[in-house]
Amino acid sequence: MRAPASYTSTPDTSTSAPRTGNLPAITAVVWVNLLLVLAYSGAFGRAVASERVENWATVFLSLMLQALPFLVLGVVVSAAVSTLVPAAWFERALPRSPVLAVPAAGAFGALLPGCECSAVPVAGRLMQRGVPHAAALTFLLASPAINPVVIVATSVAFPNQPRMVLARFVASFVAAVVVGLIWQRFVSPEILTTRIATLVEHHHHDGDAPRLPAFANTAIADFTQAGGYLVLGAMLVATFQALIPAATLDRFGGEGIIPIITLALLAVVLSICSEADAFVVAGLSRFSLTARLVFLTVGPMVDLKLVALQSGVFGRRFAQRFAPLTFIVCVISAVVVAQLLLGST
Amino acid sequence: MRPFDPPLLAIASGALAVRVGSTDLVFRYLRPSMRPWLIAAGAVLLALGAVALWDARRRTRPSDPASSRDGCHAIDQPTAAHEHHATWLCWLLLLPVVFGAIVDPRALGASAVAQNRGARQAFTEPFDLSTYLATHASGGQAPQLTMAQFIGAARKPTDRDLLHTTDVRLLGFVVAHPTEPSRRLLSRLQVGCCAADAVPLVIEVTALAEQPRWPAVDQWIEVTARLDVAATDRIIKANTDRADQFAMAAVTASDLRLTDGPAEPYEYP
Repeated sequence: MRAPASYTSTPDTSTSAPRTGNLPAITAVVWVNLLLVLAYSGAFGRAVASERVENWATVFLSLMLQALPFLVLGVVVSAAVSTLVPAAWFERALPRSPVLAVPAAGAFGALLPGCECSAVPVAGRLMQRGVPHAAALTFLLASPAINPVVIVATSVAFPNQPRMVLARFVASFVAAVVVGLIWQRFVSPEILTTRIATLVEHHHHDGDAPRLPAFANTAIADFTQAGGYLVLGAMLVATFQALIPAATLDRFGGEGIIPIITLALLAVVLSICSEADAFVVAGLSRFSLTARLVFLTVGPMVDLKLVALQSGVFGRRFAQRFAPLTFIVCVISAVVVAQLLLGST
Repeated sequence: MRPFDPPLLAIASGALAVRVGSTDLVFRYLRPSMRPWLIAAGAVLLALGAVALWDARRRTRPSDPASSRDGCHAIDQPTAAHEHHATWLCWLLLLPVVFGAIVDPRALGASAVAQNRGARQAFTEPFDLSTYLATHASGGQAPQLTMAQFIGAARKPTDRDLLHTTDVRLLGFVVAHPTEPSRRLLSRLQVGCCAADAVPLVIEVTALAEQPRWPAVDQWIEVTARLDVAATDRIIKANTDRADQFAMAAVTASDLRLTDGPAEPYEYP
């Protein structure tokens, strides 16, 4: 078996001591200390006097705590879907014709909540069971972008702009279907077939009988995987906010093409989970609504975390073609939809 | 069991969520309506972590007759399932726990106002000022308005006369003007979802009766004040010329009281 390198069997190099006999003891010491820190937090006084560091920590923790309920809801529902719904069901539910299957798969993506990390292996397994590649890829793009959890999060984050929710839904759905159709029409299936054949074991246990431990392990695996990247994203955003004063950001903000490009690239770099990105972008109100819609459309479909996952599951050749194609289609789709629905440029 | 095994990380995150959610700490970070969701998410993480730990423990004891079938299953999957998925990044989930304890950051205050000034627009919800003032005057005290309510009403031509002739109480903290230290500014942050999207609300106090000394930066105060129409007009004109102006309205204050900060430090639209 070839293990997909990016998310399987990457041992904890920091902790894989050869003397595994000591590991339970080390673990116990680490965790007892951690629990003490948690229990007595606040009792140490402020170790860091700098207001800037303090503001950084407040923003970082805010982002994490705000995202946490949505991330947990996402991984619980996606674990239920991947341990309770057999993948064969998707195959039966899709139309035979690939041209019809692509939008249908996009619509299924809208109904099935899940974060990026669960959509990637599910898409791989769908392809393996004979679902057209283009349809599985559209599912992969649509699912994390327009599912109910993301819709709710977006409407909470934009309480005063209800059209933003509709615009995000439409822009993401159109982008996912267009990428699927372009892939169907112009890209040789050979890029994926050889790789898919090697895809034996993966993230989820959809062959198993429904069991509580499988459910918990799947949910926790999704949570820790996404959570690590979420921490990285939250730290980057907090740093971004702490280091760059509003006046500097104004130079990139406002209307026009520069803020659009800025936020499109920011979405790729930040790699924030689709369940939380609306809250991040809602605070960037110095950027035009169009630029923020671009962020919300690009983020769940192309980001550093996803590209790494995709290279692991589908191979680097795939990712090299898929990511730039998706990025360009997302930006165009979001700009066009913003013109039509948000009435701004 | 290693220190950074996913079930342990889930338990740590769950414990943080429950700890923050069950105390007033939550108001430093989130709008109050998120509180039950945070506690629920923490509880779910604790439960999932407990199930996964129990499962991992069971797998490591294949001789246990109660789990012999799962022992075979465990041979099919040589390590516990979750150990496949851990990336090196997952230990980062401990950082919120550690930062929360060591830095123990306060709610955003004056320095965040200075950082965020100008570029973001606060949200002011339209409301009926005269009815509000009539129904909220209690026991001889002037009715209290939020900073956002006051700023919104100060920009509404029909409400300005009323604000100019009626005392209202405003609660906020002191901030310093970036270039003119003699100007007295009252501020509060408006938070839509979490502190990361905080937008400053700033009101300038142009005249102050019977209180010679203006408190230090970040001190919470309650002022009893009326709209200063001429100064507000100057501010509004300056704001349309330059985006990074500080204040959004101006008042003359007749009374100033030092207070402790409220449990909920931010205003919520």
